[in-house]
Amino acid sequence: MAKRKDLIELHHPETGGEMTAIDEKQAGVWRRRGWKDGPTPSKKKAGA
Amino acid sequence: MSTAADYTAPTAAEVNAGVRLTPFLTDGPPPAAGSNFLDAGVLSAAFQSQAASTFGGGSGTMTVRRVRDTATTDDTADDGYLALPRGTIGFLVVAPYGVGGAAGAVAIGDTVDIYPIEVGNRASNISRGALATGSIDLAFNNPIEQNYDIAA
Repeated sequence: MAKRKDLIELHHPETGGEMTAIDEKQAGVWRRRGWKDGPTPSKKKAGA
Repeated sequence: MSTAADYTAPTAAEVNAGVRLTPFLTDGPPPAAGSNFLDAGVLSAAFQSQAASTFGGGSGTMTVRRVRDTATTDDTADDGYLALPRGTIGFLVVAPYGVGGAAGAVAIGDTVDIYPIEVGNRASNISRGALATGSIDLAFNNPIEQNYDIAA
């Protein structure tokens, strides 16, 4: 299934979890719980 | 809980990284019960024996309270409703025997049920003399993991 472009990628620094939020408001709920923006940093390094 | 390496064996950290919904709920998720039965009788017997067939279903509606921040007119306090817009895919974790961590966090040894869900739709209920609530229509997209003891 193709990935929707409007999803907001988030990652959790402690558990390594990754998720995509549907909209900005849902992303805000997760950010308040400690999730950070972007895919997991280790993945970013691999792709660079 | 939104992601887990293995949803049938989540870690305490994975569960606690999720959004705590109990401050927004008066009822839990719809019961994920439901099974079909098939007839397994044979000509030689009068007793109509049956066997368990396909199971699942039970998808339904969960109601969350909508909460306003008393100092603003925005949605910053409405975490329960905001966590579950249409199209959300994730897991509901229920701890029927309570949790051992501080401030409602789960701890190792807690027994939980994990419901994999997809939110089909979300609607708002507003009526005079009642708390504003949101109706979250949930589909159970995988079998429920029951009575799992958090091990890590």
